[in-house]
Amino acid sequence: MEGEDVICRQVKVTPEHGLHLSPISQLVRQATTFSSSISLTFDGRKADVKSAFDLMLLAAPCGAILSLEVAGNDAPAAADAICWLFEQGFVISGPSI
Amino acid sequence: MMKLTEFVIREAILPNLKATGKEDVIREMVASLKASGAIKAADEDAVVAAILKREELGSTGIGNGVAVPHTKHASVEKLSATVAISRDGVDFASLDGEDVFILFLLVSPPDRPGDHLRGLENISRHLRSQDFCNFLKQSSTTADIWDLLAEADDGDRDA
Repeated sequence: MEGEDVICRQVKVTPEHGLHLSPISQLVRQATTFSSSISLTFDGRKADVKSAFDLMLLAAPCGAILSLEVAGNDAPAAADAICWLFEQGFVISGPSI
Repeated sequence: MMKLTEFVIREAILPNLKATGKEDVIREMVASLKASGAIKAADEDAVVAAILKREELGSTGIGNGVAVPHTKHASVEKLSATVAISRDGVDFASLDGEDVFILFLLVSPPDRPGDHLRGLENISRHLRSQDFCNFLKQSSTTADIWDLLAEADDGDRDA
């Protein structure tokens, strides 16, 4: 599609308990602000990052390397935003789960 | 694989929630766990408070009309959960902005953090199916809901 970027990057899961509901919620909230399609792939399973159910079923543990793919008009900004969440470790105050 | 029927407490299932607000719904579900004996009466308020505190960090309304409020608490020795159906829907500040009609509330022992993650993964796998969600919402009795959970477990076994 004309004007559409496709960006592929790798991200690492750093939360102690893996990609659980708290980081998943942050990912979904961030991903849904962009029009691009955003997916994460792990161990042969592909998840729509705008779907909490999809992300739960990735069952990605701490240390897992995921493949991020972003396609759409705002792909660069979307990829940067998602990568930033992984890089800062989804740090929030209070209980981690 | 942790089966739904291994951690959902049948006696605590609520096929027709009375409460309509988020906090009251959580209170009603925790009260049901207490009434079933799954949590101690003395711990009821603390469990409610812990779940509400977790909700402050981010809603467990994960979309598709589903919410999975949860906490760790020493009141339980193993993962314990209840299922509730709201006929009119509850505003849970969900990720998709929609009301929730199906709620799974989980309480897990503090020393086994993996238990409720596995429980949530199992719940998510089934609730991803629109058919499963529809059947749950159409269930009018505890027995109906329990049979549906057992059937889902059997589907896992046969898969």
